[in-house]
Amino acid sequence: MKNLENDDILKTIAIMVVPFIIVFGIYVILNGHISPGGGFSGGTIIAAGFILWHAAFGFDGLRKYFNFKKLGYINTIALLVIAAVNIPNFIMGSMGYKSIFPLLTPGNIISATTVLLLDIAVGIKVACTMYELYAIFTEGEV
Amino acid sequence: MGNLFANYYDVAAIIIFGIGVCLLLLNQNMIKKLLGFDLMDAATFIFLTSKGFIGGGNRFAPIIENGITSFSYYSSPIPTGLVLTGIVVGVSGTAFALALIYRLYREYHTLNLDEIMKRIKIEERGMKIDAD
Amino acid sequence: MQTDFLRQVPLLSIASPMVLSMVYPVIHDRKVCRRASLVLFAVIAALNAMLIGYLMQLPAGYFTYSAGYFPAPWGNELRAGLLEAVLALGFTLTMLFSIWGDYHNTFELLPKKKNYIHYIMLNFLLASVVALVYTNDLFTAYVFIEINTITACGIMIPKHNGKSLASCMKYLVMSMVGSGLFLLSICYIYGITGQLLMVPAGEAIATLIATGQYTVPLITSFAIMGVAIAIKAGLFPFHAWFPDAYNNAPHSSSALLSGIVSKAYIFVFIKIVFRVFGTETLTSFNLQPFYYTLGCIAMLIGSVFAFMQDDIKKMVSFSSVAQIGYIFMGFGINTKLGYAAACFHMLFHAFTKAMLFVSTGNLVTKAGKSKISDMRGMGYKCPVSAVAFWVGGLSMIGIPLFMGFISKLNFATAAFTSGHIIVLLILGLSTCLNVLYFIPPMTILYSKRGLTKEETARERESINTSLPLIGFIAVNIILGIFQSPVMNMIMTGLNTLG
Repeated sequence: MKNLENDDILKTIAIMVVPFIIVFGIYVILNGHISPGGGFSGGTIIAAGFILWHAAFGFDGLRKYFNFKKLGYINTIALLVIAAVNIPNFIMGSMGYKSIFPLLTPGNIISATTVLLLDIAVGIKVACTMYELYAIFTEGEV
Repeated sequence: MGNLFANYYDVAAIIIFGIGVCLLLLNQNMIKKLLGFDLMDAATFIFLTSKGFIGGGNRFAPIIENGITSFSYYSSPIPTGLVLTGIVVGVSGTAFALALIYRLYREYHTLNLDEIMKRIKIEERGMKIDAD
Repeated sequence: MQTDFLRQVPLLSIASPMVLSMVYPVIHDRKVCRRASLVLFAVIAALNAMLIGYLMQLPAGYFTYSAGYFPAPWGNELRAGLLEAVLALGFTLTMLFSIWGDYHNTFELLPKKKNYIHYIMLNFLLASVVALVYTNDLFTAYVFIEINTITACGIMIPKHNGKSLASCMKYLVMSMVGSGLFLLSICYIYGITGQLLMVPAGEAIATLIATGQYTVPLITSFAIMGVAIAIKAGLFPFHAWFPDAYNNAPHSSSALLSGIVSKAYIFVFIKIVFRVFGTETLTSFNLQPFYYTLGCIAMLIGSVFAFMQDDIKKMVSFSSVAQIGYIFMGFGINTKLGYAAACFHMLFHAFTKAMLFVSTGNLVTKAGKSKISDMRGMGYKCPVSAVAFWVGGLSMIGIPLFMGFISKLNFATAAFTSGHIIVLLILGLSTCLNVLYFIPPMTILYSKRGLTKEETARERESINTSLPLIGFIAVNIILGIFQSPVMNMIMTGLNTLG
């Protein structure tokens, strides 16, 4: 992986392609409840964009955006959002109430009750986790 | 015999599952064991997704188009949700196994599980002779 | 509208360890993580004890908790009966005492930088074990079985030396085969009945058996699930990697692995047999002779191998293989008393084997070496651990006044009342073998032969090590003397399990 840092073709292509990869990943996350995709696949696509940037620009190119502490905080916040949405749902549902989020017409983006919020949180968490796993395997640290 | 040809999805899934289990158990290279695990999982997901298929030629994939929301127009979408969860579980198991293989390679510099067990036995015997 | 707080206890016991461990990567202090985990385990144990009191007042004896906004055939469900609450309390107490009692061995000797990951794994292990006890849904059972496997492998390897990594790899391979087969069986049941919750699937299968359709797929799915659970719990032909895994893990991790991980899988299988297939199906498929034959062989083979070991921790690991044989033997005797004996033995083995592993760990750490002959005189240096080893050994042999006697009495009664006399003979034979391998270490601990005066001087152990072992000993003796309440709760719980 070391001699890829001076590769001009890779650097040029990475600068052009990585924004599109990340936007496509966000599109897959946001449309998770309408078409195939969802949090997990979208998060993996975003992580693939990060890995391409890492392969082109080396470790320091990405460390100014992500270091170990920031990834820890993003992970924790995303997981706490998932817990904060799911657990009151379970508790209210068991007591017999109905959902406060409306179930609008299926097929729109804002439709199923809390699936959109959960998809976004899961997508962010999966992207950070995939990137962390890759970084631990290649460099030994994040 | 006619049942076997009518359920060809299931037959193919079970054959691939069998190949995956054989790779997982019988091969000594750890990366090939991991490939066997992936094959086993993929076969189970084919098996599960094919349970949602409703034949007859006039049912479409469960993505809402043209605002038609009646459920008799589409195939069943439930198994696809189960498969998504299963894929996530399989990926996490694969990631954990890869981390283990990486650590084992750094310790012993070989990917062969038989070699590693032999070296562990030799170390133990060496420690036993030292202790006595 | 059911607004009792105690109805939320199953969900809270599953969700709160997970939520707590989500904040651990931000708190880098390991002591805070360990203390928070221990306090949480104690709170969950107390909540489950209150749930037992609440369940005894309910007329039906159980309640169904529908999690989420959708009712029965479409939503997810938990179901809390007396048996589940008793087992959840037992497993949580085992976990609390094992982690508390292992301060010097595991906590102080682990690498300092990322030690909080060990506590994240422990929290998730408790969440998955409690979820497997309470769940009423087949696919949720599969997801938590996978979480159980991965976290059980995760707590085996905090020391990163070669032996533990290799034994963890072999354990992971066998567990993955088991999980894959379990998922295949669930897909079969879903394909035949179209339901994923246990009780609606059970009703659909009952109608299918009554009309006589789909007999071959039903037998196939039941057989695949039986083999999957036998692989994961470590029944006789599939037991080969378990003693290695228990031996090379840190001491508290071995206690948890042999104590609660395998029991969760067996309890899921008992629930599926009661709710999805029905116990008469087991008889009509004629599959129960496999279970009690393999259980009997496991009882003998485990004891013979344990007798041949000269390393004390490996001896305790092989004895675990024999005890799993007892549980499957009780499961194979297809009567109510057989299942009750199996459930009581699960509770007994969780407490006693964890106590044996923790006390053995203390003795081995103090001695520096792990052979039985090196334990000579250790009873004076670690008094509480030696007493705990004595209580554990006497319990396993089956001396009255301890919990093991009640367990063997239950098995003998179940075998005699259902006419399996050979099982009685094998029970007696394995008790004799248990005596053969437990008595030598127990007597060597207090022998003074060939040791100098200062090597047998008495020392004391710290509070952190003594209190959890005293807790274990107390549970063993109390449940050995006052066994009627617990056995009544187990029998009542079994009546409402179906």
